[in-house]
Amino acid sequence: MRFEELIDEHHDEILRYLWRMQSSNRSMPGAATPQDLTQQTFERAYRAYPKLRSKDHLRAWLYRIATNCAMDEFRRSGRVEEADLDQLPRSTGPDAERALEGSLARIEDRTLLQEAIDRLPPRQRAAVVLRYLNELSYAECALVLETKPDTVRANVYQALRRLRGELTLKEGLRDEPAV
Amino acid sequence: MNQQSEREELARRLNAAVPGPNQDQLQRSRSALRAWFQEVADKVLWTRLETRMGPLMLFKRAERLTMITFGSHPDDLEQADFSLDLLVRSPQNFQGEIRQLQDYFDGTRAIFDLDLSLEGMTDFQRQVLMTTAEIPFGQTLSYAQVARRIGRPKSSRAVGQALASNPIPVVIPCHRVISSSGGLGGYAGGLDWKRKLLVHEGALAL
Repeated sequence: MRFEELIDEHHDEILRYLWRMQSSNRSMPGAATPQDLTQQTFERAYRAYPKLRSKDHLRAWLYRIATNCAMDEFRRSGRVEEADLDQLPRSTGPDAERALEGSLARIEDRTLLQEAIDRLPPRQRAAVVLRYLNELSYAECALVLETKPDTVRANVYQALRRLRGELTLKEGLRDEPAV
Repeated sequence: MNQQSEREELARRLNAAVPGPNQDQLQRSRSALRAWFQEVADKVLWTRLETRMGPLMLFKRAERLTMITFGSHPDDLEQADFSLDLLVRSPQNFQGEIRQLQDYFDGTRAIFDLDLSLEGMTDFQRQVLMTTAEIPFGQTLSYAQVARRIGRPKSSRAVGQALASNPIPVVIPCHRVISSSGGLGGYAGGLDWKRKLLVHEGALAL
């Protein structure tokens, strides 16, 4: 595929991805905007394209570069990755994931949800955005995040668990009558 | 709610919490990216030519014809062709090429007089292609004969490979090189093209 076609085909989803990775520091002075990061992604890709040996997973390859750009920006703006996520507990099975999805699907307050997403460790956030919003398969997510599909699944599970933990607590508090 | 609809509902809520860009923002970013690409990419002009044997695409870099391919859309290109370049369709830049090719296909021209670019070719490939370019209209040589002409009599297989990488078929007449056994050998555009070109030149009976 010619690079020009790559731009036409994937620009929109890459911008959407980086946009959703960035909501918290978008307004900070000096922070790179999602448009800046999208531009950076394609500039890096353009330099690497001639050396790319296999052109089989171009979409995942672009997302991987975009992820690196986003992570560099997180680091630059002082957000650091938390502990090695591979060590975190994994889902106990599809039922546990389903239950999490179900309870989160009932969260009403989008501001609270946004703040909770902003507090996710970058890799967990990337896993959730890739999986639920940009609709990549676990196999594709794994190529993007350079890990195994099971680890992505674990990242997503952790992220959802964390969101539910924060939100049920907050929503619960908010429902308390003011004293 | 079933599992699927719960997942969709969750995606909907996540999307509301961290929404993506709107159409206007997408449009502006896309334009900026394309503007950058037009700035950095090498420009390759191209056009399409319908001939009575089928469609051709012509490509030009820096005023010189650099490639002819069989087909009618840049999507038909091989993976490595112009992968980093900006393709600009520009028929008005091919008036000379189109006239000469049309004359050739009409049977009123036997020799091309065009500026060609063989960039990226090895010395061996160039030698083979230049030798091939000297085979007159209506005549043929075998791969072994071309190999002998360039002083590499044992290299007929390599000659075949060099001809297979001919970027400017028809104009550089690699169709005039055939197997010494009398068979047609190979052709990048398919043997049907090779056969038609040789019949057109009277080098092969119908």
